[in-house]
Amino acid sequence: MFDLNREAREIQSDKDIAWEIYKKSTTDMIGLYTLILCICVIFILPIWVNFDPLTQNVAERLLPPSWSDRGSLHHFLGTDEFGRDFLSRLLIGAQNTTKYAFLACFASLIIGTSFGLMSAMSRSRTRKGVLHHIFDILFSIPSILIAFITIGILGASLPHAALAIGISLLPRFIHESYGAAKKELEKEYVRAEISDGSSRLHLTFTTILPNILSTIISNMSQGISIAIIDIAAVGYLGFGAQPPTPELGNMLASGIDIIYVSTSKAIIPGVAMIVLIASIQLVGHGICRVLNTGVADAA
Amino acid sequence: MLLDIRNLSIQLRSETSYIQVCKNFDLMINDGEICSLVGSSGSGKSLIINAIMGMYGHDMKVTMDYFKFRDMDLTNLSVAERRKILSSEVAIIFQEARASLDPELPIGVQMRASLGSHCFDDKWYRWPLWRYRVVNNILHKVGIKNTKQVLRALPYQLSEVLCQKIIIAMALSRKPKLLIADSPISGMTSTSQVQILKLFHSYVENSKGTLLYVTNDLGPASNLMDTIKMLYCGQIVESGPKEQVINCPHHPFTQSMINAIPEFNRQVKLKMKLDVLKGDPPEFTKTPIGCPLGPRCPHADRECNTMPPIVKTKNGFFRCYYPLNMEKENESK
Amino acid sequence: MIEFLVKKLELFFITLFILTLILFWAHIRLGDVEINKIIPEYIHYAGNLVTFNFGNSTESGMPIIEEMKLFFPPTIELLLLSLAVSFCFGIFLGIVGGLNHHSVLDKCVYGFCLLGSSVPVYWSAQIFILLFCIYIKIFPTTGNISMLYDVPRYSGFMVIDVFIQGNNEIIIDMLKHLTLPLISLSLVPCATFARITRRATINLTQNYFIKAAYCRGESRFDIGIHHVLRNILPDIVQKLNIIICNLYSSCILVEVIFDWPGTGLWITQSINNSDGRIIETTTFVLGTSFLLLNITLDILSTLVINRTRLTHG
Repeated sequence: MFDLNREAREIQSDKDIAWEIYKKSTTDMIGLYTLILCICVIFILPIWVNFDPLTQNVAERLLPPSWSDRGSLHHFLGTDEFGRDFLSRLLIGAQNTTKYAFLACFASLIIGTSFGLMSAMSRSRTRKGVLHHIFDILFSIPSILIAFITIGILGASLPHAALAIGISLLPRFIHESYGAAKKELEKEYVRAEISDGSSRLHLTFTTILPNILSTIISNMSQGISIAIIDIAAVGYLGFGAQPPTPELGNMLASGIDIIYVSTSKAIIPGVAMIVLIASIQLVGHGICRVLNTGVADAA
Repeated sequence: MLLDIRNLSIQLRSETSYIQVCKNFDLMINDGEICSLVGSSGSGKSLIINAIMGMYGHDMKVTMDYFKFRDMDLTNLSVAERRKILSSEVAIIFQEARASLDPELPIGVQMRASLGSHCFDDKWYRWPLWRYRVVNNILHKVGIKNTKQVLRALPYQLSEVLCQKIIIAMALSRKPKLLIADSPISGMTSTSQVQILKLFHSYVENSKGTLLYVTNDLGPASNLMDTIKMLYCGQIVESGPKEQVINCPHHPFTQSMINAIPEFNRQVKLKMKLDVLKGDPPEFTKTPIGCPLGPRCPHADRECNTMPPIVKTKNGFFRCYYPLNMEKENESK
Repeated sequence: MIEFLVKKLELFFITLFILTLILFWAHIRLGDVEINKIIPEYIHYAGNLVTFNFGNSTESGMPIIEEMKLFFPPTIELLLLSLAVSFCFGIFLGIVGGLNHHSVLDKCVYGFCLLGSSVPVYWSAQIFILLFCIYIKIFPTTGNISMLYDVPRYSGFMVIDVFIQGNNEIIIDMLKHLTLPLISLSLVPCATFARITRRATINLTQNYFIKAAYCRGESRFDIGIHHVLRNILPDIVQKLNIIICNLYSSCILVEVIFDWPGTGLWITQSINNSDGRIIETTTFVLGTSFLLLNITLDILSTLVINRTRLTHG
């Protein structure tokens, strides 16, 4: 149906069709290329190139980036106030933040979605209510406050901040997956499947889960963005990764301190974060559009 | 002549290119006439109405040689301007009645909102609260008795027939010069269809208005029509006054539509086949060259690979190389 | 309806109970509590919390209630003002973008939504300070009113107090101090509202009644106000909960950056001073208020969705 001029031999597989639909939007393609570039630079490049974020070289403090007058090509983005290479700090810092953000978001997604699905599919009202509202307490405490409490109890470090942000993301996933599953359960084709005799387990994995996939993926991309911003926020306040470990948040904080002396150190980590998050959101939006092709009233 | 459109052509945008949906479409409606456009589902009727009213976005390309409405030449205007001029003179009744009403507003609010200030044609001292009076009167005219309840209700609380009557009331209250009805009675039971058709009858008789009735079913509404135009694959294949088209159809497509009307006073043998054309209407990307009915027509021959020319009859025309019932036509001449 | 309210209140009390348990656990970890007498300790602690008997702060010695009355109003006024601003702007932008789908305007709105959700609020606040306070020198950097003016406390809300006072100079000064925190705080919720509204409007314009309204000659402005607004309200109210919670998180950060004398500043200072009592009591008060907010928004969303979605397919 998608390209009637092709011969009947070349039947397109689902993957090809999905890729063709994704390709139609230029902004989503830009997002995809940017995201692939970011992931390559952040995760794959440091395997070969030896980035060194920790060596201090007090003689070469606060060099500007290489495109301005006093900069040198050896330190491509300049150095920070202790003489450490800024490009290495940026890449390793982005790696740290993104790693823990992905981890926190995925763990939260899996636990939250399973709770939401279980509560939507269960038949007894008490079990439904308990599973749905068990983490509502976390809904009512803002994420920064949860981070404060966790760090107050466990101590300040990056894994603890990631744990706190993962906990704060949990109720959102439960509510969204519960709402989406309930909407699907009211539709006629699910009733037809139940009257055909499918068990609850079969119903969940074969029918409900593929149809709420687009909601889950859009929540996941939003969740990763929020996780990155919040982990960096906790780092900004000084409660995340402790120096000398680089991390986007505490790089922003130290950049703000020296903002009158060299503005680039404050602007560059922010721009890097914006680019990363915008590309994640574009890719998420594109995947949802592909999954929702042909679905009327797609949210 | 109320509406005069020449050589309308509609192209729909697909992934790769434009698909020609309608070609060389002419429409001429006179004042006080009930013109009807009959075609099977998917022949482009709703698209043509959208194109006339200017209700399309960037996914449709519409070109026409000539568009005249009531001595106003609208050919060279932009879509938005045409829509603005036509919206005060033309009213459309869509297929799904309940979906045409805003689900969150009470009926009374919607009916009063649809009355523009140009609909006020009474004495100056009756201006305060004129909308309430007009809405009440018009609801009585369409045959709704409990106006107070209906005006306070929301669309989901009313039945489909009631919603359609309200839509017709909303359309008539603006006193349009042309009323376009797009399959208004599809999906209703026969008694409801009779009620709606009676409304159209009274509109035509009382206000001498013009009606363009688009449908895919020749049966129930055939009493209403004056002229019938048969639409197949976006082209008019036969046109003429009602008696001529129904009693003496020339095009095989018209004959098959008339045969499809069930007659319950005929002797039917066991397991007799229904009298239909074989096959399905062609997709718009694969329209046949020449006469669009070619592959399905039982009387087709080699000549039908080229587009049949227009053959004029007494009050209409048809496009067929091998027309039916030509003897009857010659007799009546 | 009554049944619904009763269920929600049950939920409220159960969650409150769990909250006190969690805070008690934190209290044990942070302070020194005898393990033998845990149950009486807990009852004593929970009783204190519920009767708002918070005790004195270890740093300044003032009763915590008095400090709360000092620090909560500026936060509430910042929150309410930025919620109002972002709500109005966001919905306006979303409807404009949704009704003009496939045009340049819509692409601009989408771009704004994307950028607004990707910018971290603490970074954008600092960039605003750099641009407007240092380079262009329009707005002042910190605080909610200049140190030179002495505004008497009528209600604790600076906006109201200043207007009661009536001195034009002070009003202008207060507005200048208010602008930058308001703008940097409203950016993210505005983008979120715009994204939700735009998506809902685009879905709505596929419906028949919008096309029928266009046919009747209603202008886009009329359609936007009369038809679109009322139909997208349920979608927005569902997400209001999450937006307000995220707004409060951003508010804490903005207060730290702009030295706005509100709860965010207070909490971060007390963490730096390791004052456990303030953290626990503030968490309790905030948790309770957000729980009440959740219940109110749930009731509101049921009222708004009640009429059409229940019986319609």
